Amino acid sequence: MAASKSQACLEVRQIKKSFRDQTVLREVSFSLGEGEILGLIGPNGAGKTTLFNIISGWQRPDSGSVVFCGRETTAWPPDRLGRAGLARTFQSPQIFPDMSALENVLMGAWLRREPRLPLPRALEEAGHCLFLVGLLDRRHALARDLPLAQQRLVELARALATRPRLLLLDEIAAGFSRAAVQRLAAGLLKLRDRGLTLLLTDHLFTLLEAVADRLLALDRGEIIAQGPPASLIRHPEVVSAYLGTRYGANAGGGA
Amino acid sequence: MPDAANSTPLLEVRHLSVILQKKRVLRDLSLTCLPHQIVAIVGIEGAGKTTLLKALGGLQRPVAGRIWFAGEPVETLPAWEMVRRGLVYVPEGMRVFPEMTVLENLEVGAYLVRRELKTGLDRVCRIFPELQDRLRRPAGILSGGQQRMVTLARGLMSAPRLLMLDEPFMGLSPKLVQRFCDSFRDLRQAGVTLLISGQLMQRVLNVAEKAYLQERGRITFAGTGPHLLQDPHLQEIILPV
Repeated sequence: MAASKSQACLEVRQIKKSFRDQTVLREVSFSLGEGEILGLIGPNGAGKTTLFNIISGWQRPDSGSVVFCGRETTAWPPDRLGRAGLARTFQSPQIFPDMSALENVLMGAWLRREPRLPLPRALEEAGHCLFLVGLLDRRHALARDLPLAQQRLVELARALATRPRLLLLDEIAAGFSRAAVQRLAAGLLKLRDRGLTLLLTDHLFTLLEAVADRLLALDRGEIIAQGPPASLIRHPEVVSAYLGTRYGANAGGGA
Repeated sequence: MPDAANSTPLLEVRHLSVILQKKRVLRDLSLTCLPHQIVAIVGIEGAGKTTLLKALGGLQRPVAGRIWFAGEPVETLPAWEMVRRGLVYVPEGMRVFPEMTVLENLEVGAYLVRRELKTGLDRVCRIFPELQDRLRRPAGILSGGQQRMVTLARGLMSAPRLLMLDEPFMGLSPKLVQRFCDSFRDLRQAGVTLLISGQLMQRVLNVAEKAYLQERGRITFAGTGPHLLQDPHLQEIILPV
């Protein structure tokens, strides 16, 4: 089991964050082992994305620290973290709308890597990453013309093209069909077998159940429970804050 | 069928075709919504669901076909005129005005029906009580799911007769999805007809009087929601594992 590999890939220590008068994170701490897949769940507004933003350098915490691969990275900007091996996707895909899918991924394969690859090699790798997410045949389509779910896949391919050690996925599967979720789950497990560590948040329980070693439940900026997916789904606090009492009758994801 | 006496369609679409970048995205598509119904359109991504809703909302011109709303042809009308007549499209994703407060975002929704502002606000705060405490905050600082609530709530504020929702549940927690679906009955009583499109639509199909399966720009199945839920082909392609 990957979770038993003890070397921590990521350590989040007592992170606090407020916006104006609103406390979003209160002393959140957890660690993520090398090769582990950790799922983060919680109601809308629990602080999941803020936590992602802090880990990936898009926001600074008010206090606390982030340690990535043994180095404190709390104050590092996103591009430096990117080159150090941390990649992420966003809840609303942040792609270059007027570039093709391939050009978007090339940004990851070429610009975000040090030392920089020769362009033909980078192109080849970008193509390979698009193939991995199943979009090679749409490589020349403008990113803005793709359906939202495919834009998410372009962003995933761009993140993979940076050859990350840690990948953060913020609701990657929103809007995916059943078949697409299954493909994604199989792909993520394969990437993990090659050494990738994953932190993901999603409302699609089917995905989390299929891939996560462990889940953390966040509510109002605090971790209220953690454990394997099967046990967390029955945790009373998780049911009342997040899943809703009738979830059992309708299990099967966001709808 | 409910409302047998009131069975003049609120929306009628006949032989609609849309071409985007030389590609035919909708082909000869026909559908009907009766007043106060919940109508579901299910299909995998790329089936043309968003294009269909955009065409119905006046944001995408069809190359052929007719659209009647409340008995009048509307396929050549601009989007603002569609909204004025009560045909309101809520796009997928989070589409708020980030610098404006939540309340201002909601007021934009009620721009053409300012007299309904109070009623509308009461209604959306009942469905999304999370917004109540955040009315004075800029919408851009809300979480993604909360912005999604604002997007849906803004549509509700425009006193729609037909509310078209594109992937309404994307990014909402299971508990919120449940609460939103529980509000359908309220909305119906307030005279709203719902046309809801998406992929993971189990909860909607459970209550939909009419459901369509859309594949490659065509309607390939029409029936009731529970009927469609049982269709083995649908289960194969769409429903969650």
